[in-house]
Amino acid sequence: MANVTLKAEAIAMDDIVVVGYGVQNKRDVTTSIASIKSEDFANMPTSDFRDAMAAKMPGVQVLQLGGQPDGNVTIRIRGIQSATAGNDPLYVIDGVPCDARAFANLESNDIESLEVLKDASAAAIYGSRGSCGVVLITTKRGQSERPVVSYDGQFSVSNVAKKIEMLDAYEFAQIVKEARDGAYLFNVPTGSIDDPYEDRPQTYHRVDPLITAYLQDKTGTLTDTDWQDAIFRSAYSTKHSVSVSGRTNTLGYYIGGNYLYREGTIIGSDFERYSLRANIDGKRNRLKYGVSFSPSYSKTNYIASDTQYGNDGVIASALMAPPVFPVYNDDGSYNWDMNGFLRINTWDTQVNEVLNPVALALEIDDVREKINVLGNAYVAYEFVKGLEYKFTAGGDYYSYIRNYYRPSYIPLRGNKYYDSLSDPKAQNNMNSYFHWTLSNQLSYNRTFGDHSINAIAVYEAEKQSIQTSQIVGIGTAGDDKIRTTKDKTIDLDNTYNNKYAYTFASWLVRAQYSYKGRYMISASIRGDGSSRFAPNTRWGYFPAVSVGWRISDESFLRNARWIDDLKFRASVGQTGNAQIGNSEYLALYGTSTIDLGNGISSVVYPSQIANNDLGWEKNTQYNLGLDFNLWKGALGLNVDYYYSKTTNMLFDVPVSSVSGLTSSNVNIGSMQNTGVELALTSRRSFGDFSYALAANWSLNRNKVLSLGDENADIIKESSYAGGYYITRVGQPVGCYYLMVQDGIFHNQEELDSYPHFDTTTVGDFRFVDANGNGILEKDADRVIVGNYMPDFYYGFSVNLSYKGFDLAANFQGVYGNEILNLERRYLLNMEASSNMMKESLQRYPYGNLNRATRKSSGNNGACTSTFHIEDGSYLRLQNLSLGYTFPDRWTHKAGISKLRIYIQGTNLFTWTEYSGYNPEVSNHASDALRPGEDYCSYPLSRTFSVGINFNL
Amino acid sequence: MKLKSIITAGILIAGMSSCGEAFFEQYPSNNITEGNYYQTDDDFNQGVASCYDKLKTQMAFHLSEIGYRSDENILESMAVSTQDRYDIDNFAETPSNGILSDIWNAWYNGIYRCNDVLDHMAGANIANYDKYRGECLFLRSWWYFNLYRVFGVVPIARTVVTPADAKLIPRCTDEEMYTLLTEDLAEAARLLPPTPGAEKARVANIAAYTLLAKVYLTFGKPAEAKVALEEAMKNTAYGLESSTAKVFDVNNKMNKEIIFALYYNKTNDNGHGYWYSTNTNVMADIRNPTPEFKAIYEEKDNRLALINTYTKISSNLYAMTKWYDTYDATYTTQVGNDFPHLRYADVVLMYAEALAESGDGLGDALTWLNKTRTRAGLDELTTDDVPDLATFRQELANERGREFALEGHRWFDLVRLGLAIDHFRKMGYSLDAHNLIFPIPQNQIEIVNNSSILWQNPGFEQ
Repeated sequence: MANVTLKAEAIAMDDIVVVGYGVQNKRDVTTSIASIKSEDFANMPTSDFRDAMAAKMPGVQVLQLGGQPDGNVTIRIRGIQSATAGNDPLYVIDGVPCDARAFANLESNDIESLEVLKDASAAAIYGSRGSCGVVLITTKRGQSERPVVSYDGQFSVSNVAKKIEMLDAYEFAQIVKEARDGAYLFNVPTGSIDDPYEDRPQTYHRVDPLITAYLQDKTGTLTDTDWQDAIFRSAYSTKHSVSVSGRTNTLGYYIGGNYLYREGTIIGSDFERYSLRANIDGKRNRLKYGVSFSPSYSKTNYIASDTQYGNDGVIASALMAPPVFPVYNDDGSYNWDMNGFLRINTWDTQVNEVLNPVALALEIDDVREKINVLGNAYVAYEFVKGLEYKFTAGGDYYSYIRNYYRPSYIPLRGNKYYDSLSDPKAQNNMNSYFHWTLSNQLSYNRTFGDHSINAIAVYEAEKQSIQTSQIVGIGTAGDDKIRTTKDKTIDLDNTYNNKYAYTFASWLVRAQYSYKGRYMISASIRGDGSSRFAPNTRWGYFPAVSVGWRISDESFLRNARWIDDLKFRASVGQTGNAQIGNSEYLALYGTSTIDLGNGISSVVYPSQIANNDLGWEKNTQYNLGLDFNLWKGALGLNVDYYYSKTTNMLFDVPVSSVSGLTSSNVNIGSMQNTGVELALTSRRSFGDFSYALAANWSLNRNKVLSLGDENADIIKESSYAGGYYITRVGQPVGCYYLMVQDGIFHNQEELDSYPHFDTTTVGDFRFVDANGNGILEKDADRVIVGNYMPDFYYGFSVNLSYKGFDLAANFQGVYGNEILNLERRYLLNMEASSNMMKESLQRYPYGNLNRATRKSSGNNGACTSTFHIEDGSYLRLQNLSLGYTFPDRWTHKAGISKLRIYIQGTNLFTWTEYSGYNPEVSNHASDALRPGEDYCSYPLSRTFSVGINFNL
Repeated sequence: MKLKSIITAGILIAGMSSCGEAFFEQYPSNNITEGNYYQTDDDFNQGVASCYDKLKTQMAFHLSEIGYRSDENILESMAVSTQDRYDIDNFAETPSNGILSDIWNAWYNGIYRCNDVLDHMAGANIANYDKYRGECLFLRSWWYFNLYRVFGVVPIARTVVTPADAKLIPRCTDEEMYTLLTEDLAEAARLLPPTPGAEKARVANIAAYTLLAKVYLTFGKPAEAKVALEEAMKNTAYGLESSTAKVFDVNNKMNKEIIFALYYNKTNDNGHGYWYSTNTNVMADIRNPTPEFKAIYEEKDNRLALINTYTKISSNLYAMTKWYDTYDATYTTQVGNDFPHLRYADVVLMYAEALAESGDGLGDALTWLNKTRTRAGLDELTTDDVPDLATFRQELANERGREFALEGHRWFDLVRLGLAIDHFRKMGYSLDAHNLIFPIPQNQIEIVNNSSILWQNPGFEQ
């Protein structure tokens, strides 16, 4: 089905676009909609179809947050619309709204087209859930009268795209010693680095003989482990898709089956998926009916990639593990010396304990299975010409099963446990989601001469029921025979089952009118009621109107042959945001137990204060757009300008603890987004040669307008205390709020002439006394030092074809954002309390970083500051592919209607100054008040693929 | 016609699915919602239990953090993760100190729990009305009193307040705090039973009288304190144990000296890890409690061994005698020491303080002071040893230090007795009167953002 060359040949002016509750001729669209077709999805060597959206649509930012084999993607449309109520767009598959989980198993080969409704007028048809944009996914249906059998196969090999340069064992030993000497000289200024270790007062002044051995070694043959090499690998993947589709007068069908297997580039992780889709459409006289059915199953062998070293984080442990220890002992067993040898041997040299990352990756079971059944059925009947009634019942069932086992031969972290057996832990989670939608739609669609009318009225209801359960069992040290909760002591505090639900009911009407295809107007209103709000705020109403003017059809332009199409669009609409918890308005109580001296008894404590005023967050957006098509496709240009204002923002604000709570959801404040989007296309054919160029550029400016009565700043801590974010009126949401680190003190003279902390000495960080009062204060000298929102982001692509050859390249870029790289707090703290980045060689007095000391007395690494902020700009060659389609005359004889082979590279290069693995970060991706934090993540992979497509 | 019936059925199904308000009423299964709770006596009992439950959240503050502020503990060198503690130890805390914001949040949450029970209890017809109300008033007073001792005057909420209203409540005056605490504790003392019943960790009337006396002494009302303590001593179910060691004996939990304590039970997973354990038994290497603090003990003081001797648990774990217990057989990392907040020795020593401070003569006061001294094996003090009030205060501070070592009293005692500034200056710290209370948490200042409602304490303004 997929055909890359098709794109270059056809100048598709009259494409059909899905607009929500219907389709529209692309010519007549008066709102801002971005669209991509099946060929854009084809052959992407990824598990999540959303990877294929990257860089292709202006105003749509696709963040690949990690290289997990099952994908880790976040989509943001036109910036950040909400500070706390969630910024994920609404996803609608074949007309049925779904949570992101519902398409976790969706196979990109089954997708016919994907539309993104960006402006409020387009999205308003989805009312209360449209304010962060709507992604409409249409799956493939039978098209051709001749049955088509299609096969896609792909084989890929991936490696991590980047390693972080760390110290080798000899360099590490050197800095360990310097840091101990540094701490000693700080505490005992009269001392000398030649003083014997046993005479030094504190253990962290001392250097272990193991480290000393490295300092004295001349052979270079001591253990020197590259822990990243130990956990990374070349990963292999395969993908197969087979489909049969066709259409007769009365029946259309598409049946596809898919298999995917992807290894992760980190040992111990992989992903496997089976999926099936059957779309059947029938027609009998005035009756139309259809069924879609798509069951799928996937299984992930998961590793803890994004968690910290204290929580079995594989990557964090690999980065921190001292290179002086081997992965395995001579007898082949795991080595555990990194878990405290330097704290228990001779002296406590105070090197942090980490666990062997290879063992963490390979020996902990964490299997996550997802079963998803997605389906819908409809009947439609045309009463009189143009008047149709359609009833749709849709839904999905999703279940998630997790089985986790941490064996006893992995010790707990810490020198107390060192290499001793732990109590094994088994955990089982089973979550199930059942979601249904019923929709009644009456539509009227007629053209009378120059007048064309399209009107719909819809009434629908939906409900989602969720059940979650967890069992945790703790076994006996040394007994790993049964790796489930069986026969284990159940950990009651962490064992539960839970059940909740939410409901929506909605009605909407929309009318679209077009005069000669030259003047177009569309108006709609939707009402939404939701169980998430108190009765008095339950219903929200969301109107929208848009107009279009095809200037190129006016008499004064009709003779301008070079203009194929010129259209002006304007829209205004209101949407809402209901991405909040299910019971935010209720006064709630939690339960617990206590022993007050007579055995265990129950406790009921208030956990949430009633909030009957909690209401809908509303977003009003204005959009102006201009679409040009010139010189028969040689130049296409779309320009959009928008302004959106979010009011009644649902803020989970820190509140005065005098209430007993520390934060609460409140409708306060407002925020605006202003943006410009440009999309440029050019496509031409010259005989056997054709090209298609596309470029898009998006700019979004976010500004907080108000934050309630007193406009108090909202200050939140980063994952590590001492790092702060601020949300302040007049600034973008979620800015970094830190002290400014301004080099180091090179000598006593500098130190004396600058404000500094009491404990600061030469070689320590120099911080800016931002308020200029001559005293350095951690609170008062914080300033806004950037944020994660880019100045602009962009993408461009080139598609060339010559005879049977096709070449495509895709680039994606982001410019002008900052990242809070908290991982450097460990990896570049000069304490040598764990392994450090190569950059640490630039320490004082050798370079411009601070001196080595085991205790950050000068508040060097202890103070999260601009030292931890980095430029996040990047440009990435996302995809490069070269294909060859065999000529018809060869393949025809074999009964093959199309045969293409290709090679492809994905994520080949990233040009960036950022020192972490991946400049697309977010440690808490769903918290708009704390964006842009890198605290360890699965590195992206660079993938090379070969593949074949053929149709019979 | 078949067709029409399908359509009709569709409309009907859709219609039924959204039949009015009931469709929108969805409640989580794992939470109790307000409308259907607080009916029976037991409902209220569980609410009161939640107030007790909250006491444990920040027990580390009483157990060790405030000991860093005093001379009991020392943090000789700071690491990235211990800066807040280091600052408190060195009179260098800033308003953004995390330990301070943690106790602020936890204590007000405790107050919220008390208020929620008290609000719902109004007018309820339940058997244990008096007992529950007394307990809530006592616990709420405990938290307000600690807020006052740590932060000075603070905003007072006597009912549940919404977040919006909470930020409009200004810091109270000293008089308002005095009135709140004395009225509530006097009422609690009237309402509470003489003994706690089967749940021994609940409070009886003596707890309210004892805390009331401490409030009076803190506010400089020794005569009133004396009366409250005499009321406390009328409760003969309580008294001194024969030795301090016996008070802390895990085989003698909730003994007659315990008035108000955090109860732990290792046998049903309600225990804790060792308190004040070390990884060495080399005394020179053990810094907490500090050698300076141990110096206030005479050698023959039998309480010195409580904090100066250790039992080996494993090769790198030694448990202090005062908090010694054995690991539970089932919960193999738990021990079950209780942590007393108020005990009878405090009644005795506060009575000595009240007598001396109200001018009743040092002789009488010494009689009471000598009760814990002689129990510890020390000689009796006479007015020859203690000729004046200033000397008495010093002796009392030392005696309270020895008796209540590592129980969270020392800093507050030195402040109340007016000795803190000199004492810590002599130890080489630099401090002045503003260091006697701590800064209001910076995040609270920023949330309220109105210095006429929540102002920063002097000396900590940004």
